[in-house]
Amino acid sequence: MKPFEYLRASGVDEACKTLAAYSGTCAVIAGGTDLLVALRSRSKRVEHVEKVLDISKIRDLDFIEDRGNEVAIGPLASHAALAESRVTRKYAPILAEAAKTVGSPQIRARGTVGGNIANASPAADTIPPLLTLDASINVRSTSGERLLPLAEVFAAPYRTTLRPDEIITEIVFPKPAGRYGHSFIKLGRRKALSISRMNVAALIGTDDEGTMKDVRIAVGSVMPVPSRVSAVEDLLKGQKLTDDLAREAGELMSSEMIRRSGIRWSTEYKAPVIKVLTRRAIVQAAKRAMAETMNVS
Amino acid sequence: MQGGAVITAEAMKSCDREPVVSQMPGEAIPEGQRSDGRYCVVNKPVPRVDAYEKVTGRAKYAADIYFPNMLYGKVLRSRYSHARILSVDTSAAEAMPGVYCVLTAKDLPGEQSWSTYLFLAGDEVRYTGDAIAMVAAETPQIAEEAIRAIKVEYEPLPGVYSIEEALAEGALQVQDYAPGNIVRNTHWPVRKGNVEEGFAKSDVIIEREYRTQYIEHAYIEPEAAVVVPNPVDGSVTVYGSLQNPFMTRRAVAVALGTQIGKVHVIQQTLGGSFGGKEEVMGLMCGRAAVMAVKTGRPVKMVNTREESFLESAKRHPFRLRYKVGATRDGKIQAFEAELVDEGGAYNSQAQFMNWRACVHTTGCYEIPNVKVDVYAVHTNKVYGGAMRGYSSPQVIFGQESLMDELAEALGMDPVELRLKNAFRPGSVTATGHKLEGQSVPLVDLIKRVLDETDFFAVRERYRKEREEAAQSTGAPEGRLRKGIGLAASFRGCGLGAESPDATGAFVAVMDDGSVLIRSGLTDNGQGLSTAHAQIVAEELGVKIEDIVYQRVDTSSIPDGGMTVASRGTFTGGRAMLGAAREVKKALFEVAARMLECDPEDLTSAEGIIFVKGDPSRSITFKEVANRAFWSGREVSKLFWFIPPDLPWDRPTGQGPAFPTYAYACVVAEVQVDMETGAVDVLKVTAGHDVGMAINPALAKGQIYGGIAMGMGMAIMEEVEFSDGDILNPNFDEYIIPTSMDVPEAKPILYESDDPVGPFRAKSLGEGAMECVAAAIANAVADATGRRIRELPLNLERVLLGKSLKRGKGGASK
Ligand SMILES: Cc1cc2nc3c(=O)[nH]c(=O)nc-3n(C[C@H](O)[C@H](O)[C@H](O)COP(=O)(O)OP(=O)(O)OC[C@H]3O[C@@H](n4cnc5c(N)ncnc54)[C@H](O)[C@@H]3O)c2cc1C
Repeated sequence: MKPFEYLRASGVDEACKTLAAYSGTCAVIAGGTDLLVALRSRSKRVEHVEKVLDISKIRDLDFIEDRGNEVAIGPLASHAALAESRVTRKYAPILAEAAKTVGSPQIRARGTVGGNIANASPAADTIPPLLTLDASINVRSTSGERLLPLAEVFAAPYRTTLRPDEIITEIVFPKPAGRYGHSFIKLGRRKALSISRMNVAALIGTDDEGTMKDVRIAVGSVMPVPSRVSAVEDLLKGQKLTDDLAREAGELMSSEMIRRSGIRWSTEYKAPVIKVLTRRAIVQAAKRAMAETMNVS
Repeated sequence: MQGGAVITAEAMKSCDREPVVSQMPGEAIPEGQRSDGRYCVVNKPVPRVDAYEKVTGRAKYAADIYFPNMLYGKVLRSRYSHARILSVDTSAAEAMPGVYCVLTAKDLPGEQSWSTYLFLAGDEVRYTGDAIAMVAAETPQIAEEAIRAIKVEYEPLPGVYSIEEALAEGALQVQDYAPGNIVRNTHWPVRKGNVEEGFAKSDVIIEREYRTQYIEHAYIEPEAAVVVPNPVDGSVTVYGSLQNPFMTRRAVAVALGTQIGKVHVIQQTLGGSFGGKEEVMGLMCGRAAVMAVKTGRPVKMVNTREESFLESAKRHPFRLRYKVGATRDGKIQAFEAELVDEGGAYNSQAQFMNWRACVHTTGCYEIPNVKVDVYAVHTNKVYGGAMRGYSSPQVIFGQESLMDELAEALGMDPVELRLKNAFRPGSVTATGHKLEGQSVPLVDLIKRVLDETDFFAVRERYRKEREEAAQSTGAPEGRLRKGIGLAASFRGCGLGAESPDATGAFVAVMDDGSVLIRSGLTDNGQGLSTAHAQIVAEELGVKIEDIVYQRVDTSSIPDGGMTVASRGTFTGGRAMLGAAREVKKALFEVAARMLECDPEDLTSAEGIIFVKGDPSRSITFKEVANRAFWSGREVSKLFWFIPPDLPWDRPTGQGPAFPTYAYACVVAEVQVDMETGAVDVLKVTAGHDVGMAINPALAKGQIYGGIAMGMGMAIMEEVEFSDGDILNPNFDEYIIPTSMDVPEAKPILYESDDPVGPFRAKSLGEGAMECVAAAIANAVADATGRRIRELPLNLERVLLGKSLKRGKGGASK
């Protein structure tokens, strides 16, 4: 374990001041399920870390709220809370379902959505669903607050565009209004406590005839960073789903993967299988959309 | 007249004690029938004697032990899998405050090893687990920092990283004493009949190659030990997470260069071992002892998970090559095999494992012509060692896959092929052992498992479903395929002709009627203490609560060999029974005088000794114990059980390998996602010939655990290497089954009448996992129509038929 100094903040302002004071050498800790693992193995990612600032006691950062047209989630919301909350289950079941697949009961109790985002793992399970929800994050520092679309947060595997003195204070997304269906598919090496080999999130809005009006598809561990795949979305938009179309979308996803990630040791497996997962996710989401009774909101 | 004791109806009912007393050698009960109700304590699912301390968290594991003034030890391991060590500079580490000693190979007071692996390597490191220096410091953090401050200058050398590389012409030699990289003493041939003639008679001949992987034991508790020095007499006391305290004792004595008797080893509650906490614990305790003596302070060492992965012995990977021939009617005529296992950098048990492998190579089938060669090779990787099953799970995977493939080539039902060739009473094994005077219920056991699983109907149903699914495309459900597979095995009970199987047990009756029992064999979590307590309670006729079990303490019982080979109950139980029987004899003499009868007229149950047929003439066990003690009788016994000699002819591999064999038949049902390669093991039904289950609940526990471990081997577990570096030394990437993955498990305890073991018990611990991977592989082949000849059947292998490797090296295809 890399030795470090432990600090604790009781409010957001205090946290921002502390981070500003120790610019670049102080890491925020929420649940610690990523940070402590990295510190223990003296990972390169935490080479700069000398101090750890515990934000887990800042009550204001732990919430899941229905704000009319929007849902707002505090960064300290645990995966267990995301999986169980009535708000997420009603307005963002794709997120609740994904959170339920994270780690084990212990990890879901400790691990937070803010940590999942800020850690920026290619395999993070809540990120693709949040991307399909068009989520943005609020970040704060002593120099102020800014709202950032989630899609702009991920720079590279385990690297974000956040500054080291910034903390995530909120995650917000508009409620999908209308007839929507979702699918979250995670492929791991076992049924639980498993890091995604690949994951696919699909959120599809249709009209009453089944024409896909709004198509949002994001993948994890497929592209260099978790991302929406507009080429695939565009292929489907305005169409009714057929088996052939779903298959074609899968093929396109696979070639997008190779285009953006290149050929790696795992490509021989991932290339055929991402086709399948994409196809399955699209089919399930579209089916669910059609089965959905209109969301009254 | 002593009529005071009350006998319960339960005791009366079950106290027809004759069968128990005359049980060895056993009287016949029909094979496959349970023996319910014939005993008071054995054959009952009594709760484990250590259950409460474990579930309440009171059990102390080695890492829970603290002494005043204790230091913490850490080891510096090699950065390279093969290198010359040019220099080691420990000065910075030594200068750190809180550091009490920094030692390298030249500082060892004794020898570098009690075998071939090293306490500390001197000039050369041969795998990444090799230790170069060690530190004892005030805190674990200081010890870690001190380790990081040691500077080692290496000259990296080329290495050998696969069986093929090891055997290649002109290959670099890993150990000077092992020409051609053949691990010393590991070649075990078997020659029976004449295979050339057998193949000449055969209508169908197939040749196949299979492979298995490196597997980590993955016990939940990493290695831990504390060594306390006694500066007065130079002795040490060792508290450790130990499977084999006597092996550890020898290791520590060698490390210190002291007499064995000066090393006092006390085993602590074990958080799992499965064959793992053997060599690695000898090394850890030897190092800690050297530092404890050097500093005069207790030294604790606790491995991280990564350290545990790096240094602890693994399940040996095997390359299994076969040629088998049969006549059209399915009689196997000849069987030729070359089994090569990867021994790693040092010789850790391959010589013993390979003997077991040679005995079991051809499986539970009678084959007239056999030619087998088993040997191990050195590579610059972590050495293989004992792991539950001791080569059998690997060998059975190959051999039982081969049976299915042979059946296919013959156009015959694989079950029929097995039944046609299966051992029956009087069959002769590949090693020329005629199976007489022991139970051989294999055929009936297979039929029982077929019945209970409704095997043929289920197989047919899955076949139909697959055909239908193949027609309907598109729907994801249509890409799921179910399959069913079967594997059968036999397993020699105990150590057999491998090495001396003698062991001791100590039973002492206290004057309050309680009974202290001690064994030289350990309770590793498998429940041995409970099984031993049951055996003694049954024989003495006392309640299980009256038995007090004490963990292994090497200074209070002689070295009774290792707790391996599923011999704890089978062999250790014989010693317990022997000791209890002698103590009982002494007590009955005292009781007979008190009850004014002959000792032969007496029997006992539930803590009461009484006249057979006249329970009104009775006395409590406690009263008798008290009287015996105060009249100076010997009411304790150290009993030494020595099984009969088993002659072995090494050049031909012929001889009666084991006193008896346990049989198993396992059926697995799986569902395969044909588009992702994901295998879902739905159900495993495991039928085991247990002789008699001393404790049916614990026996089932062994089977459940065996199924979980076997499925890990089958579909997910694999230590991955890049050349000699382990890529997945923790559970984030080394994948083992979770409770969500474990299939529905159905154990069948098949009881057979075998005269050899205590209360007719046979071995079970290892047999419980040995067939599982083979059955799952056969089920996957049934589901997919494709045979995969290399484990594990992970996503890539099932989908693509090959693994994808992220690291360098290895000849894995
Ligand atoms: C055994 C195990 C299993 C796991 N399984 C999964 C899984 O299945 N799926 C999955 O996605 N993940 C998994 N993880 C990873 C981890 O649990 C999640 O990423 C979790 O959400 C991290 O949250 P945390 O609060 O523990 O983060 P921490 O470890 O506290 O922090 C992680 C990173 O985020 C930063 N950070 C945290 N909060 C903020 C904030 N508010 N503002 C700015 N930066 C912040 C920290 O500085 C740090 O860099 C697993 C981890 C373990 C140990």
